[in-house]
Amino acid sequence: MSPLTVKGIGMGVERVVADRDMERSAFRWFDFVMAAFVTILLLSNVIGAGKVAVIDLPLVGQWPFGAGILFFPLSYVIGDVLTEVYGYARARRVIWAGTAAVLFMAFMSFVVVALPPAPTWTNQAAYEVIFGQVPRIVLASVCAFWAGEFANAYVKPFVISSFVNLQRNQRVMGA
Amino acid sequence: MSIEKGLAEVEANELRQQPMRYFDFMMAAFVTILLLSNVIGAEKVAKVDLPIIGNWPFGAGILFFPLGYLLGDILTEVYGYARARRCVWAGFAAMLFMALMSWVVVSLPPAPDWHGQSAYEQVFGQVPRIVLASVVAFWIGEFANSYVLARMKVWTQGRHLWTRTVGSTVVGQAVDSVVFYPLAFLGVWPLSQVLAVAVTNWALKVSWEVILTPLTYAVVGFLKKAEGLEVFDKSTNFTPFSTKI
Repeated sequence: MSPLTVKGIGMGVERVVADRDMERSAFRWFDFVMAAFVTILLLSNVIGAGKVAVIDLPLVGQWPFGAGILFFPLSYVIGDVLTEVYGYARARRVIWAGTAAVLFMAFMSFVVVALPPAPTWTNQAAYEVIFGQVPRIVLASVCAFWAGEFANAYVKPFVISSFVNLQRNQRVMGA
Repeated sequence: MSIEKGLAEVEANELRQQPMRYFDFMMAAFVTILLLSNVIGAEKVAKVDLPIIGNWPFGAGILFFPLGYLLGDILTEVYGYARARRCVWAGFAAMLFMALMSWVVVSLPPAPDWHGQSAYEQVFGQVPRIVLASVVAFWIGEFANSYVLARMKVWTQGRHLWTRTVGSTVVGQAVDSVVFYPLAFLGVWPLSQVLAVAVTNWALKVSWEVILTPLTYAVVGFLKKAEGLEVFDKSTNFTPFSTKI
């Protein structure tokens, strides 16, 4: 991508720079956005990924859905925002942080389930149901997540550099 | 120590917004440990088979929870109080989101052919009082931990890292336990049990972090070398109510 010099793209944005020109520059919010992404990713894999909930639709009646879908798509929204605001290199850093975090989660679930329970503690069966499947969910999730995020982050810069002076909503739809 | 290693000694508030090589990853690690130690294994009672004593019960939470304090120490030592404070606020927000999400997921009506609801309620069903106690204790404990470490680093002129990692943990975990156990269990458990559990867990967490001291040295050494900095909080404003760096 060559340095772009487009004036007046609106929203108070100062200037448009090529991704490589902002190597190691400081950002006000980047670390918080990374933390938010990791939070959503972890929680949507550990809480709700295994639950089948129902919603009572007007004509259709009871319709089952995975509880995970309520929260997991937020990570894609944050992924979009990251690439849009900070560029591909920083989005990639966040993808690595997210991957390391879910792998640690798989390890930790395995350890906690495997620890021998005290005879007086009665939740072992519940722990096995919920955390026993975490390593498998993480494996499936890491594969899907990598494919999805890289496709998303890779497509976006092309769309932006081609249509930089189009309206913002059209850009977001392109990802 | 810092001069031998070729690190630039800097005053924390002169760093401003200087970009750091690994700070964002450290914040992510901090939030990860905090969330996972609250959501996985916090209330599991495991047992260990000790040689003479026999089966000894312990809370599985103590294995991973102190890693959060370890990371808090590393963050303050390497990056200074202001950046550690940013991480505490990120962790605070993440814990509130976790509480919201657990509540929503447990409350959603389960499908009739799904049989995990009772397991979900056992594991993710939360007592509001305990959630409140954990969030408040985390917040106060981490700030106490970070404050003590930053001040001790100035007193010791950056020498003897172990004195401040242990010293800050002794104080930080004590504040955490003094806030958490009474807030969560006073009136539910007898006073003697609240005190016994608080003291036992405090001692276990501090010991575990002492055992992990070599790991702390390795990580701190690696990060300082990568960043090339030795940060001192001599004129930092220690208010918790800020996220500025």
